[in-house]
Amino acid sequence: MSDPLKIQGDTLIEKLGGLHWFWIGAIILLLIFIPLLNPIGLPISTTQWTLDAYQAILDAPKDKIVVWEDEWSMGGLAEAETGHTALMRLLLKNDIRFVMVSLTPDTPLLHSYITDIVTKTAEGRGKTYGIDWAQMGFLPGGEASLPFMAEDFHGAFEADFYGTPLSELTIMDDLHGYEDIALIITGSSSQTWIESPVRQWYVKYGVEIISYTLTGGTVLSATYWPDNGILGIIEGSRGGSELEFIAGVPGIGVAQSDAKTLAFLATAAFIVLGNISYFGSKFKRGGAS
Amino acid sequence: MADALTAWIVLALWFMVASWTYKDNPLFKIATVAAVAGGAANGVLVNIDNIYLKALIPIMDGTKIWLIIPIIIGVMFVFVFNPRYKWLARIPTIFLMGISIGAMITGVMSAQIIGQIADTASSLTGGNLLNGLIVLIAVVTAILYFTYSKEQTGVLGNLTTLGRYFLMASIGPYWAGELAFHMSFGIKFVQIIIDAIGL
Repeated sequence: MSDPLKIQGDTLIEKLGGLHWFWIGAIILLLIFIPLLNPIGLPISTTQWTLDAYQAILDAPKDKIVVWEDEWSMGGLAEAETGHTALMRLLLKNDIRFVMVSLTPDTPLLHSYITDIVTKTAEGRGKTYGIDWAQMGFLPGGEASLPFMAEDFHGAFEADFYGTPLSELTIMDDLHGYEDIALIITGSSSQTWIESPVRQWYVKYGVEIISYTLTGGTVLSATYWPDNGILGIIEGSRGGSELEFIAGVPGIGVAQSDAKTLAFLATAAFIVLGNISYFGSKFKRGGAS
Repeated sequence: MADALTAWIVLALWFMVASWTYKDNPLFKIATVAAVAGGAANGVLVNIDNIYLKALIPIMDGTKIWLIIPIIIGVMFVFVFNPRYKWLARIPTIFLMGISIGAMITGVMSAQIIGQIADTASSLTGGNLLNGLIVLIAVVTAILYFTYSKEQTGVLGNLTTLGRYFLMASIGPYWAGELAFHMSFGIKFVQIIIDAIGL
């Protein structure tokens, strides 16, 4: 690892490309500070797939339950917090009953963290755990666990995350198998996970899906949207910010979007400078790299 | 008080991790080992709890005695540490592979092959013809890029080069997504600093 205090290169144009990544990171962090302390209010563009996801949630039959299966973990909190909070507030705001399912061992920690935040908001107040929503614990098995849930939800869990038997949770009286599911929200910080719920929920049981992936992770989800099982896509923290805006549940996403825009502009500028340095140095050496 | 203390601990750990961008150092190693250890400990506890609630209790109260079978299969994994009986660990491995492939294979044809081919073809007939043509050319040339039975020269070479450009263009959003994902960590880091200081 090179010394951050020593800028490599002989000429100015070479030094430009030899700037240590520590300084690039430091500049970007400084730029992030500005909108987080004082939101600039840069416009948030909304994508069609987020609008579709929002509409699909609103159109979910009220007599059925939305199942929110999740592979996001506490380690991805930075990217997941905005989307999770906005999504949970949106569901509660519109009286859509939902059950959260954890597909990794530390997802329940994330769900509890988000629940703590949301229950203090206007949408969360007055809602009752066990009636309006429930949180299941970790279900091992990855893709193989999905048909297990679809066939026999009570057999897959028996008790919720807190150890309460499902028979004691009112919401679970209406959720036994795939016929009772209005919609699947499948969350994952992996771009490729989406193939598993499409294979299981959509192909086998005909239950349609909202993909909640990471920012920029929509490439694979988009191949199934809007006619092959995916009704809409929530694109990580970016999608979360859009949901906040569309659903009227403003939160941390707006300030985060400002910060992200500034950080991206700075990154793009560094990429341009890096390329100028690279090609400039190459040109000076007569084309040899 | 507890919240403030948590914020400061989180902040300290974030700084310890971020210090690597300057130079590798022991504080960075302590923070990363702590993260791995915490994750592993949580995973072990959650899984023990799962086995206890979902298998041991039903076995002990006699409602699902047959669950002893998956327990035995699972325990066979432990033999991986014993050179003499290592072969026993293959049984649960094969078992898991079989279940995973079995669950997956039923949906693959419909979702990942037929559905995708149908969509590629229908993009020509429904909607924007130009977009449909681009999709078709991208799919065909990208598939050609992965054919190795003929040397990629001449016309085939030009087509595979085009396919490579399409592949590179599709990798661009992946990289941008990766960047955005990690940018979120930077934003969270700054938010923690702001919360801890109380700005």
